[in-house]
Amino acid sequence: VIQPVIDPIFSATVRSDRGALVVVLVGTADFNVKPELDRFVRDVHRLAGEAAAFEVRVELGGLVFIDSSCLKSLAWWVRTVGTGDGREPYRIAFVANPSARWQRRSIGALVAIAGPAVSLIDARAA
Amino acid sequence: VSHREPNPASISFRGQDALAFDLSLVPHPRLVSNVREFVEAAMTRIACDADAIFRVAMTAHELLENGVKYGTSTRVQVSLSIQRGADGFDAVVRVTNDASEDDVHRLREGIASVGAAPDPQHFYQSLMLRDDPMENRSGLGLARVRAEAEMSLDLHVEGAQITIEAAGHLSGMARS
Repeated sequence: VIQPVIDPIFSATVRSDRGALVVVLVGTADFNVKPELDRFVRDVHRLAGEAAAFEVRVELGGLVFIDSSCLKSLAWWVRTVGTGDGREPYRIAFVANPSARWQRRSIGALVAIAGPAVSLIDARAA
Repeated sequence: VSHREPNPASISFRGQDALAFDLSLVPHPRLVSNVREFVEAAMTRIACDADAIFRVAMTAHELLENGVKYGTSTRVQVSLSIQRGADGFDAVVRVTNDASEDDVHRLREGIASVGAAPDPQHFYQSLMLRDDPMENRSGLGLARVRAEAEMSLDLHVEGAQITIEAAGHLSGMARS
């Protein structure tokens, strides 16, 4: 069981779905929630390993904004998983809101630092 | 100043050709996102391009966050100026606060590094690759402004007071 992040402006939750984990990020992830987001992504990484999940899907449909301090939390995660050496423990798929073009810019830059195990897909294609 | 309501000292629109405002704020951590939302709402009056609005609002957010986290003054000033130019709009975001000598030094080096990088996107991603998530003063926010918002950065220092200025061109955002 992972404690969700619950803040007046942001929430992060996780659930299981047929061998995968589904993370849902909603609201504004800024430096007020960074310590909790750090803890949350490490917990999700640990749970994905324990559950032998093949994928963690990160739903961004309700994410309004993410600042650089919280992008750092996600950067640690995609670096850890997306090693590019073919031994990735699981895949991470960020599912972007097609009407939030900024997510292509911001999450696209994040995904670009990882190997093919980390991807950004459009919600319409998910 | 309530942290729920940014209170502009002045705000002016000139039709759909220009927007300018100055905010003087208590540096409260919860105010940063409020200010970003305020910028988005103000820009919506003159702009219809969500990408341009994001670039400016994200810049205001990252610069103000820097001022709130590291500033030493009891107030922080945010100003935005957007003016129609020959081909689109020119945007300038400024954040002013007092800072310690160490921070002035760190910002000089950070802004010089960002400005000297031949490929801003590559530089930004290289910081994400090497960043320790627990390290706060990495310069990632400045590199993001340069890479994602496509803004140039400058630092003005007057005594203990610093102003970080971000400037960039926005094309294709005018309302018809």
